[in-house]
Amino acid sequence: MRLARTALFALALSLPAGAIHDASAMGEADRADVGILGLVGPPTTDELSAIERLAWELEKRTSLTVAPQAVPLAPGDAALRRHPLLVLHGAGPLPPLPERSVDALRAHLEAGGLLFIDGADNGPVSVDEPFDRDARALVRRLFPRGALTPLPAQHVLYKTFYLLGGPHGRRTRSAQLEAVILDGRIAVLYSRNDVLGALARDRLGAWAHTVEPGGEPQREQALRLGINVVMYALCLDYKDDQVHVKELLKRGRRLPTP
Amino acid sequence: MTNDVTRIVAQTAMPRVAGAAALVTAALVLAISAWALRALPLRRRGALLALRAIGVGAALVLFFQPALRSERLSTMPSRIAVLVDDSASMSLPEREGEKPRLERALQLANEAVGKLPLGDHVDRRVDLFTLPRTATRASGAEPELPIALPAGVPARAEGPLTRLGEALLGLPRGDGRDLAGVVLLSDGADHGRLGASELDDRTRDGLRALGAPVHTITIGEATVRDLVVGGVAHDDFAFVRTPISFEVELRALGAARAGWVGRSVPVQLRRDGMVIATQSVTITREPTQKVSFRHVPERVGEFIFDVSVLPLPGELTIGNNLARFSLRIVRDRVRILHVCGRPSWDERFLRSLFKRDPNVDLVSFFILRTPAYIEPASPDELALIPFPTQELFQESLDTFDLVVLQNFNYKPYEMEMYLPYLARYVEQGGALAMLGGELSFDGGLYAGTPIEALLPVELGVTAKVGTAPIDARAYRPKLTAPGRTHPLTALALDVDESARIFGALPALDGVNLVRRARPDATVLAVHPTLLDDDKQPLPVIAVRDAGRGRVLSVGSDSTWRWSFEGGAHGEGPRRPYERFWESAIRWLVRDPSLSLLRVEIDRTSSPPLARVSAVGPDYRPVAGAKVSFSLQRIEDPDGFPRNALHPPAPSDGTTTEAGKLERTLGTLPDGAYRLRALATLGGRPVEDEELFLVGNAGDELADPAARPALMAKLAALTGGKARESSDGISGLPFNAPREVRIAASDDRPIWTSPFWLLLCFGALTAAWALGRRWGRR
Repeated sequence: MRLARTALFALALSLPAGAIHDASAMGEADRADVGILGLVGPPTTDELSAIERLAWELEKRTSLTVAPQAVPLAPGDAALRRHPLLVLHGAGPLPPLPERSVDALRAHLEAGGLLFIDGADNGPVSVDEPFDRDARALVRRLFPRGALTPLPAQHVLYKTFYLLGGPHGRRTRSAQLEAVILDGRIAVLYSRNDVLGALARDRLGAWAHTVEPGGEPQREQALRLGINVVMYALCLDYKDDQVHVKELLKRGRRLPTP
Repeated sequence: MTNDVTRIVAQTAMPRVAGAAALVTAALVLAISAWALRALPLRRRGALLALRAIGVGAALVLFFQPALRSERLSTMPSRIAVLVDDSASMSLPEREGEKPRLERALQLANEAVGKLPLGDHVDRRVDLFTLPRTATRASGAEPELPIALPAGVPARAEGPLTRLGEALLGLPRGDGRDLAGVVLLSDGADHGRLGASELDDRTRDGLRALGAPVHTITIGEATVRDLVVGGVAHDDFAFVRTPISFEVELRALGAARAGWVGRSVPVQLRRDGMVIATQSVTITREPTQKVSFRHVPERVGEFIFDVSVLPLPGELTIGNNLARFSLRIVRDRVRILHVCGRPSWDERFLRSLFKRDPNVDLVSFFILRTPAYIEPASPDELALIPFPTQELFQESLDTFDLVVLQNFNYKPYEMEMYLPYLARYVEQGGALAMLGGELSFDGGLYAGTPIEALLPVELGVTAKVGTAPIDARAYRPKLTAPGRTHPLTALALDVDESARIFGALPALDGVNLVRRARPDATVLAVHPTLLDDDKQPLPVIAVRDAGRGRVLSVGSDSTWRWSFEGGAHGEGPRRPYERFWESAIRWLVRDPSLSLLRVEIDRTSSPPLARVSAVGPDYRPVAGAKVSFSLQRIEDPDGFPRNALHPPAPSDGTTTEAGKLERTLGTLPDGAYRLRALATLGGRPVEDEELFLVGNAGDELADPAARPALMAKLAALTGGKARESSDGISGLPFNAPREVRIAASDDRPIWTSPFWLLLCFGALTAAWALGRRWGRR
C-alpha cells in the first residue's frame, strides 16, 4: 500500500490547534463500560479499583471513551443486556447458578457479548482448583457443545492494540488463554493469571498486589492485556484485516516480553 | 400441358446387356466382312457389304422385337427461384450517387420475372425470395424458409446476416413445381457456412441435392474504400468499480488508394451517449489496427456502449464506422469502506454485521488512539498502522460502493483536501452513510464542508465550547409517514406490523442535533420530543439522493442496542437491527430489487415489448397505477446522420391486479434507445429506465466488399454460371421440364411380319451367291 500522504496516529505529535473536538460520548450510557459479574456477592474493592484503573488507562492511551467505574451485575440481571463486556473475577469455588441465570448469560453471549473469566487462584496450577473447576463447569453449562480451547499465540487478541507476546497478570500461572469461539468470535475468554489483580489499587492509590515473577514490567503487560481485551470486545478481528497484516507482520519478530 | 407422342419400344424381355451384346456382335460381323472383302473391287465389295448389312439388320429386328407405342405425356410445372440478398451490406452503393446494391439486385430480379419463363416452357414460374429472417437456427431444426417477395415490391436492406448456404438449402419444396434453377443475386458477403471457410460436406451435399443449377450474379465490387469499426472484444459482463478493457478492431479498407495513409482519425468510446474516452489513431497501410480502451464502470446495470471512428470522405458506408453493444455491469460484492472515529459498541455490532454478510467486502479503518497521550511504548509494541488517507479518499475511493463515516471527525487527519473527492464520489453514484456520535455531524465539524451539502440534514448547530451539539437523553425515535413504508425502516412486510416492531425497539442513548432536514430529503424517523430550527420534529434517520448517489444520516451511535438488547426478542429469522442495516446497504447501493417501479425490455419479442411492474412502499403489487413512458434515442456521435431523438413512446396505461403493464414499442430504426417509465407509487413519483439496442448491422458491414470468388465457387458446385451484374440474366440455362406419361395405347408389334425373316434370308443368300460368282469361296 502506497502511503504518499498519511496521517499517522501512532506518531502524530503535532496537530492543528483546536482540531480535536474535546467531547465525550453521547451521554454516560453511551460509553463503553465493563460489567463485573458477581456470583458470590458485590464486587470487591480490588475488582472495582482494577476496572477503574483499566478505564483510566484506556481513556489515556486509546481513543475510547470508557465509563470510569465498573457496573456490578448479577447473572440474571435484566440490565445484563446493556453491557456486552462482562468480567467474572475471583478465586475459590463458585456457587452453582440457577438455570434461568445460565440461560440469560448464554443469551447475552450469543447476542454478541463477551465474558472474560479471570481466575485469581494462588499457587501452582493444579487440575483441581476450585475456581478453575467451577468456571469450566459454568462454561460447559453455557455451551454444552462448545469447550474452552487454548487461544493460539497468533490470535488477533494479542494484537488488537498492543502487540503482546503472551497473557500476563498478577501471576503467570498459565502461558496461554483459553476461549470459547462462537460464530468466529470469542464469547468466553479465560485467564488463570489474575489480570485484574495486577491492576488493583488500595485505598491510598498504591498497587494492591505485587506482581510475580516479572515485577512492574509484567504489570504493564497485564494492563496491556486488559486493554487488548476491551479493544477486542469493541473491534473484534479488525486487526486481522488484510490491510493490517503486512504491517504488523514486520513487527512480529520483536514482540516485547516482561 | 399434355402432348401425344408415338415411339418405338422393344418387346423382348431380355436384359439390356443381351441387347448390347447383340449390337456389338452385329457390328463385329460387318467389320469382319469388310476386312474379308478388302481384295474385291470397290463396287462389288460395297454390294456384298450392303446385302450382309441388310441381313444382319433384319436379324436384329427379329432379335429386339420392336413395336409402336402411342403415349400421352404431361410436362411437369417448374419454377426458377430468384434469391435476393437483402442484408445490410446490400444497402451500400459502390460510389456516391450510385444505386445501392439491393436496388440493382431488384432490378435484375424483376427482369428475371419478365424474361426467364419465356420460351416453350409456358408452365414455368419465377419466384422471388429474400433471405430467411432467422439469423440462427437450432441445431437439427429445419431451416426457416426464405421469405417470398412478390414481384415488383421493393425490399429494404434490413435483412438478417447473410447466410447464403442456409438460404439456398431452405428454399421451399413440395409445392408441386420442380426446381429448374436458382438465380442468386448477392454481394457474396456471407456470414454463414459459406463465408466461414471451405464448403463443408453437408453444404456440398445439400446444394447438389437441389438438382438444379445455381447461377450467381455478384452485385458489388471486391475492392472498396472504407473505414470499419470491426469487432469490439469485451467480456460478457463486468464488475462495477473494476477496470474493464475494450479491444477495438479498426479496419481501413483501400486506405492506400484513398490516400488515407498517415491521416489521424479520432476513435471514440461512449457510454449511453456520453463520451468517456477518445483516442487518435493514425491510419497505416496495415488493413487492421487494434485500439484499446480502459474504463472503470461506477454503477451497476446494463449500459449501451458504442465505439465510433469519424467518417472520412469517399467511404463506401459510414454504417460500419459505429459499433454498438450492451454490457451488463454487475456487483461482485458490496465493497464498503468503514471509517470510525473511535471504537464503540455501535461500531462493533455494525462491523460484525458487515463481516457476517458474505456479499460485503469490508475495508475498515478505526481510530484507535488519540495523539493527546504520549504513549510510553515504542511503535513496534503497538498494533497501529498509518491512516492511508490519500489512498482511501482519493486514489481508491471509486472502488467502494459505500463509505460509512461512523462517529468520525476528519479534522485531526488533515482531510479537508479529500472532502471534495468524497463529495464528487457521491455525486457520481457512490453512497455515503454518516452515523452519529459526538464526532459526527456538527461534532465532526462538517458544517460548511462539501460533505454537509450531501447530507439529508443541515448542520450549523452551535454548542458550548468543548462539547458536541448532542442531546444525551435516551429516547425512542418515531417513524414518519414515509418511514412507515420506506424499505430502510420497513421491518416487516405489513406496514402496521413494521411500525409496531419499530416502536418496540430498545431506546437509543442520544441524538445529534441538526438544524433541519433538507427540503429534498426523506425523513424516516424523528425524535419524539426535540424540535429542529423549523419547530419540526428533529430528524434522526433521513435519506437523500445527492447527484447520482445516495446518502443516509443516522443521528445516533446506539442502534447497536436494537441488536444486543433487542436480540432477546427478535422478530423472525431476521432481527430488526439486521433488517434495518441490510436494507440500508441495499438502498444506498441502489439494489434493483428495492425499486418500486421496474421496466424491462423483452428483446425476444418483435417488435420489442416493454414490461413494467409496480409495487408499493410495502413492496406489494400496485393495481391501477398510472404509468407513463418516454422514449429517447441515444444520439449518435458527431459526424453521423441525425435521427429523430424522440420516437413515439408507448401509450400510457394502468397496471393490472398483479401490478403489471405491457406495451409494444413499435418498429424502431436501428440505434440505441432509453425507455423511461414514470409512475406515482406510495405518494411519490418514481421512475425506472432501461436501455436497449435495436438492430445491429455491425457484423454485416464489418467487411462490405463483394466476394465474387465465393459466388463463383457456389455456381461451379451446382453446375451454374457465375456472372457479374453487368452481364444480366439472359441466356442462363435451366433444367428442362420433366415429362410424365399420363396415358398410353397398346403396343403394335413390327417384328411379327414375315417380311423381316424373308429379308434376312434373302439378303444373306444373295450375298453368298454373288460372293461365289465373284470368286469368293
